Amino acid sequence: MEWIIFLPIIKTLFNIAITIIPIRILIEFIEEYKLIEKIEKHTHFMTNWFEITTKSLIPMISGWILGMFAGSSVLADYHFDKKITQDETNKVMSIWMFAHGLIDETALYVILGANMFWILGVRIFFAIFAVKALIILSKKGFNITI
Amino acid sequence: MYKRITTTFWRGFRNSIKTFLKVLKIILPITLLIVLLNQTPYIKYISTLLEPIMSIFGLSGNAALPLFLGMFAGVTDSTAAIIALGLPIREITIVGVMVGLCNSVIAETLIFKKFSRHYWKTAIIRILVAFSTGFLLKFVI
Repeated sequence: MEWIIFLPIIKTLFNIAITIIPIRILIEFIEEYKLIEKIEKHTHFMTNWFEITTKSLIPMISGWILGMFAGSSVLADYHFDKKITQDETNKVMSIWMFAHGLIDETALYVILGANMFWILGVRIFFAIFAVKALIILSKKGFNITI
Repeated sequence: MYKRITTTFWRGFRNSIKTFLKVLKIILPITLLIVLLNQTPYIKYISTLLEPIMSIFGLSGNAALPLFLGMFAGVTDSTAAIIALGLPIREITIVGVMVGLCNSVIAETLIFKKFSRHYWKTAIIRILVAFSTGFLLKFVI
């Protein structure tokens, strides 16, 4: 077996390392300086669109940036402490179905050559419009609670 | 303030190394396994078998492993398979979109279960949306 077949693997692992390191440092700064809480004040368009309160934004954005597993621990705090309603929790989960871990997950495919705009664009499209469609259908009486 | 910035930076750096090692623990064995299997006829056999199904999404049979690994195991497993098999960029994008819409479906559905009794709907919706988007992307990308 030619050892040269492992060369693309080593090159890709190097690319993954140089992508993950700055992303993780950025996420650390976001958490340390509570930037998500600061963004919350400027996001009325999101709360109006998804018909949620500003309290739901923190778990929602946490899931977008940190991913499902980390975001769910934030959501658990808000959900089980009754800071948000079950309806808001359902909406956050509906949004997360399509869009979570947007930075990490997109970066892994982009490193391999995928088109970032397709990967991010489609997920954000579904998170914004498909979830809004689910909200409208729920209000019209269709039983599609998540 | 300077101390806070440097502390945060180094904490982020340490966490990034931990994350990279976690990613490495998943990617390396899967990639090596697939590279070794690729030297045998098994991967080619599975790819040929699944070629008709993958062609629905404009993908080759080789894309089956990264797609299903991504949907059921996770994004990292999917990328490990892509590294080992070397897909064309168009197919990596389609797989990336489909897996982005529906990844780690088993583990993440169990997370949804913590918050809602209708958690099973999330799995069905995600799989359907991923497959239909993949089908549409075939004509666009």
